[in-house]
Amino acid sequence: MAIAVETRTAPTEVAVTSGMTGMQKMARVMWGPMLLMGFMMVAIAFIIGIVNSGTAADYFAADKATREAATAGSSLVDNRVTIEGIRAWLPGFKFLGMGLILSGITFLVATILGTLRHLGYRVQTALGRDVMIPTPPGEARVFPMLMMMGLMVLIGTFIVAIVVSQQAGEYWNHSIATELDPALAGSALLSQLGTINAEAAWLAPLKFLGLATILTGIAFALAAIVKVLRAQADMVVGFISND
Amino acid sequence: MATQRNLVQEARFTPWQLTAGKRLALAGLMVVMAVVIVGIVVAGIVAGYYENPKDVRDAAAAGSDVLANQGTIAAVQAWLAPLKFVGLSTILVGIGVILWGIARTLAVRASVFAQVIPKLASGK
Repeated sequence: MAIAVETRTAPTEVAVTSGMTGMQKMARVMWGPMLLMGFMMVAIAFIIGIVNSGTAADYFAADKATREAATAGSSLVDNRVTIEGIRAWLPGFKFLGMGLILSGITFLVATILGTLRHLGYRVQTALGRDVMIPTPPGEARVFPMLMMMGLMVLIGTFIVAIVVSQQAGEYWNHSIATELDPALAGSALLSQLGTINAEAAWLAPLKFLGLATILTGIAFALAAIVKVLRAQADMVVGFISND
Repeated sequence: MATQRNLVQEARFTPWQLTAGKRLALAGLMVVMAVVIVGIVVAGIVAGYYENPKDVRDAAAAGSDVLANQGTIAAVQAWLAPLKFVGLSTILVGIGVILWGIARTLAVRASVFAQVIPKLASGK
């Protein structure tokens, strides 16, 4: 199968990014900040988890009857509101951090692809030939889209998780014994409880879908490396065929 | 001439791991998509279950709809959570297979370079 090429005249100066596509130039700059931001988010989630564990310890220091009888505005109910609110949004925040780390890895693979293109450019320049850079394989066009889609899913789930945490806060800001437990069918409180639990049921798999989409993007980026390596070997053979 | 043709064929070698890895990654993604769809269906059952007041849920008798819903929610969650990981693992195995393909491609590339570079150096 013939490999499509675009011909460029060899320049006198060779920049570090010569031969790279626009996406690869951006990836070369962005992989570090993405990895750092992602790791910071996961670390922040861990710190918030520790703080929330202190609130949970305070809350469960009171006996069950006291906790359930506590009314809105009391420190016990406030603690419960904090615990349930954080429990609703923190997983989404962690997954977004993981998504950013995986996006950083995707950008790193894109940087490797760019470096391979640059390598081909340098070799042809050194041999004094017209620079012929293969057109990127289909996988190279697909993986940035998969990465962006996955990241958008994770951002979306995080936004929904913030809304759910608001609802959880409102729901738990009531006395368990006198308001939440006796709530009647069709009441606003029961409807809120149903919404919170139903959203949790679909939100958890959706977060995994975001991560899975980014990981599939990484698989396609690696597949593009295989094709680029093949194209380079083909091109090198072309050197002796043309001579 | 025959050697030249063999060299071109060697340079255009595509490892089977490339196709297999991509297929595994896509299969894993589809498994996770299926988990999301089941999650949405379960969310409807969860919403219905919590429409019942707490005393009704707690006092649900064997064979009642409320208890059946509770059982469905618990049973589905029990296999749905591991299935998410099956999907993710399939994608990761796909990534591993493609990395294997990269290793094989690099090996072939080394062989091609070993044949081409001496010819380039000698100007033949």
